Parts: sequence; C-alpha cells; structure tokens
Amino acid sequence: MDNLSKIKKISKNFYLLLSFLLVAIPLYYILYWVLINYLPDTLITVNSPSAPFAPHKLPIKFQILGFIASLLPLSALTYGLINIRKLFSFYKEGVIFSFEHVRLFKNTAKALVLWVVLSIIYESAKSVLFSLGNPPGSRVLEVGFSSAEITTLMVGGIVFVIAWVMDEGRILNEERELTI
Amino acid sequence: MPIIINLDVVLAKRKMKSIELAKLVGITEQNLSVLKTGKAKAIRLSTLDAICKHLECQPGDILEYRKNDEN
Repeated sequence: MDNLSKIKKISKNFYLLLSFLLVAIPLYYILYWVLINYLPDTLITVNSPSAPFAPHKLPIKFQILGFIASLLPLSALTYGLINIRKLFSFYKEGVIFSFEHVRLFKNTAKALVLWVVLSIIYESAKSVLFSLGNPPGSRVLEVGFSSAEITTLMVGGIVFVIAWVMDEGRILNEERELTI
Repeated sequence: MPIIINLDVVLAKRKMKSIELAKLVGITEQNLSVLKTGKAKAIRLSTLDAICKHLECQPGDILEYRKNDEN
C-alpha cells in the first residue's frame, strides 16, 4: 500500500471518529447539565477540584445557566472539530495540498486558542454556580490556568506554524502541477 | 510573463492536432493545453525535447521572449 492510500484509509477512520465526536461532545454537555444532580461528585468537580461543592441540588435555573456557559467552550470545540473533519474529508479524497487546507489549519489553531480562553471562563462560571448554594463567605470564583491550558495553547501555536508550512507546500505543489 | 508560447502556431504549420502531439510527447491533453495557454510555470527539458522532435522545430520556434512594455 503506498503512502497516499494509507493517508486515505486512516483519514476515512478519523473522519468517522470526528463525525461521532461532533455529536457525542454536545450530547455529553447536555447530559452533564441535565443530570448534574444525579452525577457523582468526583465526575462533577473533575475540572474544578478545589471549588467547595456543597451537597445540595442545583436549581433548574442554575442548570440552564451552566449549560449556556458551557456553550462557550463547546462552540469553540465544535468549530475546531468541524475544521479538522473537513481537513480529513480532503485527505480521504486524496487531496493533500490546497489553499483550503491552509485556511482549515489556521482556523483549527484559532479554535484551540479560543477554546482555552472560553474554557477558563466556563470553569470560572462553574465554580460560581456550584458554590452559590454555600453559606455567605464560602462562595468562590475560581479562575484557573494550568498546564493543560498551556499545552493546548502550545498545540495551537504549532498548528498555526504548520499552516504556514502547508502554504509553502501548496505553492511547491502548484509549481509541480504547472511544470509540464 | 514576457515568455510567449508559440505552440499553436507551430502546430498549425505542421497541421498537427493537440491531442496527437500530446500522445506523441507522452503528456495529457490538459497539460498541453496548460502549456499552450501560457499558464505553465515551467517546462521540462525532456518535454521540450519531445515537442521539438515531433514538430521538427527548434526550442526558439516554440518559446519567444517579448519585452514587457512596462519594463
């Protein structure tokens, strides 16, 4: 099997996986906020362990607010996933270099950066919502920036550089195609 | 670009069709069309060699340098 056939085959699998994730991730967010009162504490506070979560039921309006806040990182994540899926749809057709690829790489990098920023806002909103039922004085606003965010930002930066490299590749490919 | 491709003229002189030349040279008709319309960025010496061989002409008959008026 030559290299291009391998790329096509693997890209088809990634395309299917990303299509699944595009449905599964929003579904996860919906279920998370709908079932928040029934989920174990360890699952709820997985991203905000130090927020004092008092054992009380979250009112429906907080659940709705939490879901609205979750739409922030979700939109960035979905935007990124759509771009990556589109990229793999090109790869599975055997189209490796085009101007569209460069645009998709740049969009993915932007989505990653946006995801980090919006995730910080979302996690902060969560800490407020979870601790609003606590007695006065023990309600918290937690703003976190950890190694996970730094890693995502670094990946975003790397993807942006890859976009530039892809643009050079596109120019070389164009020249090769127009060499008779 | 100030390089003009006169392939059409030479083809007409030799009364040869593009598809025929493409087959003889071993390139696709689309690629020959790219060359004829001046969209090509480069031409391989092997392609030029094959074109000159089958059209019985010199590279200068096909390629012409015309100075741009702007320069």
